Amino acid sequence: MAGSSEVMRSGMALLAEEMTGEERDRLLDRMVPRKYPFGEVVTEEGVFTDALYVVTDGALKVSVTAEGEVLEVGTVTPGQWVGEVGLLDPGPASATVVAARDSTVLILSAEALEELRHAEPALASPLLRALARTLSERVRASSRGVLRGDATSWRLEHVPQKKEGWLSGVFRSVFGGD
Amino acid sequence: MELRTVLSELALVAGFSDEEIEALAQTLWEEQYPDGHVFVREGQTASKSDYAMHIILDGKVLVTVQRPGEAGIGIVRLMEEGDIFGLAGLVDHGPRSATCRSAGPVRTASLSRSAFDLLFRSDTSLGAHFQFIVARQLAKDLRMVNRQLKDALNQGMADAVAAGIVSL
Repeated sequence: MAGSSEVMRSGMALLAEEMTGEERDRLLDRMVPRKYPFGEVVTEEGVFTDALYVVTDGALKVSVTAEGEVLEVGTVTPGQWVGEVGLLDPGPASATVVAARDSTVLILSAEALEELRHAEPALASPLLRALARTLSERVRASSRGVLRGDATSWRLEHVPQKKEGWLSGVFRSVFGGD
Repeated sequence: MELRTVLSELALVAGFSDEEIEALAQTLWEEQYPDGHVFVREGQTASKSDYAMHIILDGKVLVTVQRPGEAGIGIVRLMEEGDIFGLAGLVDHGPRSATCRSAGPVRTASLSRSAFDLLFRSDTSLGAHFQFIVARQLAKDLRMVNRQLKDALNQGMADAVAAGIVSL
C-alpha cells in the first residue's frame, strides 16, 4: 500500500527508542569508519556482502537492475543505514550502493556483531530488536509489492522514509564533522 | 527432524551455550498438525494466549497473502524444515501480515507469546542470541520476498505468476 511509508519508521528511529545515548556511543565505538569518494561502489548487486553501512556524511545511491535497466530506488543520507540483510544473513547483495558524493560511513560487519553479542549482549540486544522490527516492516511492504509487481515497496525496503536527527548529532560529536 | 537437532543447528549459528539451549528447549512445545491447519491468519492480531513463533521440525508450511482488490490469494513462500515462521506480528505488534497454513502433515516446536516477549525483551546473553535468530530469519524472509519482487519487476506480473507466484 502506498500508505506504508507513513507508518514505516526508519531503523534509526527504532534504535533511538531502544538505546540510551551512552549505549549508542559504545555501539559506535564497535563500528569502523570508512570514506567512499564520489562514485565508489559500496555494495554491488549479486556480490557477497556481510555488513551494515550507516551514513555519517554524504549520501549513498541505491539501485537495482530490472528489465535490463538500472532502476534507482533511493538515497541513503546521514543517520540512515543500508545492508541489514547482509549483516544478519551474509550473501549476495540485493542492490548496488554507490557513493553519490564524497561520503563517510560507519561499518558494522557480521563478525563484529557476533563479537558484540558475546561480549556485550546488553548492547547487542537493542540493536537486534531495532533490526528485527525494521525487517519485519519491510517484509510486509515487499510482500505487498510482490503481489502488485510494484517497485514502490522496493524503495521502502531499502531506504527509510523518515530522516532522523539524533544520529547526525552523535556523529558530529564523535567526528567533529559538519 | 528432532527438536535437539534443530536447536543444535541454530546453536552453531547463534552461539547458544549448552545451558541456553536447554533453557530454550524447556520453553518450546512440540505438536503435530494435519494438512490445512491454519497457524496464523492474515489481518488478525496475536493474542496473549496464542502460540507465537513456530519452528518446523517436519513438513511444509505455505505462506499466503490476500491479493489487494482481488478475490484470489498469492503464495508468498513455502517454509520447510528448520524454518521459523509467525514472527512479523510478534516483533512489531501489527496485525499478522500473512496466513500460514500446513501443506500436508506438519510437526512444529512452538513458543508461547509470553515466552517470546520475555526472550525478545531480554538483554541477557540468551536474549541477544535469540534476537539474532529472529532477526536473521526475518532477513532471510526479506531476501526471499525481494527475489520474487525482482522477478516480478523483470518479467512483468503475468510472467511472475507463471514462474510461481501463482494465484490460487
